[in-house]
Amino acid sequence: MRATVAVLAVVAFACGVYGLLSVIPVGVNAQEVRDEIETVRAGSPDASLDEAVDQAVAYLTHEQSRRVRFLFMAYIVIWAALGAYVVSIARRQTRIEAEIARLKDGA
Amino acid sequence: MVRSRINGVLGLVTALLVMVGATFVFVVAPIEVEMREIQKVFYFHVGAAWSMFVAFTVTAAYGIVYLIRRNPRADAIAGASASVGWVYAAIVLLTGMLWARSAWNTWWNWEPRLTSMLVLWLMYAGYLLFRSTTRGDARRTYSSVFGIVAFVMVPIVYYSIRIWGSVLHPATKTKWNLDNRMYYGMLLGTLAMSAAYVLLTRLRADVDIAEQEVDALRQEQMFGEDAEG
Repeated sequence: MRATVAVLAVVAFACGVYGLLSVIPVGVNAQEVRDEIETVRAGSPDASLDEAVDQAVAYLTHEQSRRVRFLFMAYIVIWAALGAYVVSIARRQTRIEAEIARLKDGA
Repeated sequence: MVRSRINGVLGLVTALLVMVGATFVFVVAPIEVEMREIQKVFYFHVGAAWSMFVAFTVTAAYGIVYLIRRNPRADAIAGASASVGWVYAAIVLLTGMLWARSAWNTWWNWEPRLTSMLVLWLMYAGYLLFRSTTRGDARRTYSSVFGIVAFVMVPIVYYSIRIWGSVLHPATKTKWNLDNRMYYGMLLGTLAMSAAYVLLTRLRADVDIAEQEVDALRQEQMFGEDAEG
């Protein structure tokens, strides 16, 4: 039981960290940047190409970090909920073992 | 001894599936064009939802078995399955809310799938509360009936979009038109969550049975003391 808890905890932690670190450096793709530059220039036709590029990259980077933040939180929720449940089962089992030992001593 | 060995093997299989699944989802599966990175929530969100449906079906099935055979082990499995299913339902709700905040810019929307899902979660919270506050045959009999009645919500949640319609939530599909890498990611996520469900239900049922034995032992001692007195 305790070995299972330990294995699950280590695996959950490793997968969480490894997975989330691997998704963060994805970056934005060229087509997205082109589309966003078009959107910026449609909104403000006087903006120079440099300004439009700066605005597009800033917007896309902000949006990406926002999505990754929510993804990060979602996986924390999954592992934390499962981890907390496993810990609660382990604690109940420890309590029952102590109770059985106490009852046997009393008998 | 055999049960403990089976649990150990199941633990290893679960750990392996979680590891391979997470690696596949984050490294191999491509980023979806519309939803981008946040779509990766779905691989385990859908797996948790599927396992939750299985868990509540098992609760109802073992409830029926208990009512017919009066076997305490069937009741322990029904209770354990509901307990794990309820945790999975909480995961589905919370990860869904995080996705909704990212995609719809709101934490919650009273559309049919989310509302029926919340009702399902609250019904099983009631089921677990009932089990935690009662003992003996009354607990086993009434919670079996409760588990069978609450199961009515499962198809309602599953078909809620088809029944009431929603512009936000896609209808549940049995056939997915996915990129192969996404399909295998979904399969691995679902297998990982299902294996974790089986393992957790077994562990929880064992604890419930041990608790029943402790109750019996305690009663035996009490009656023994009364007889001596």
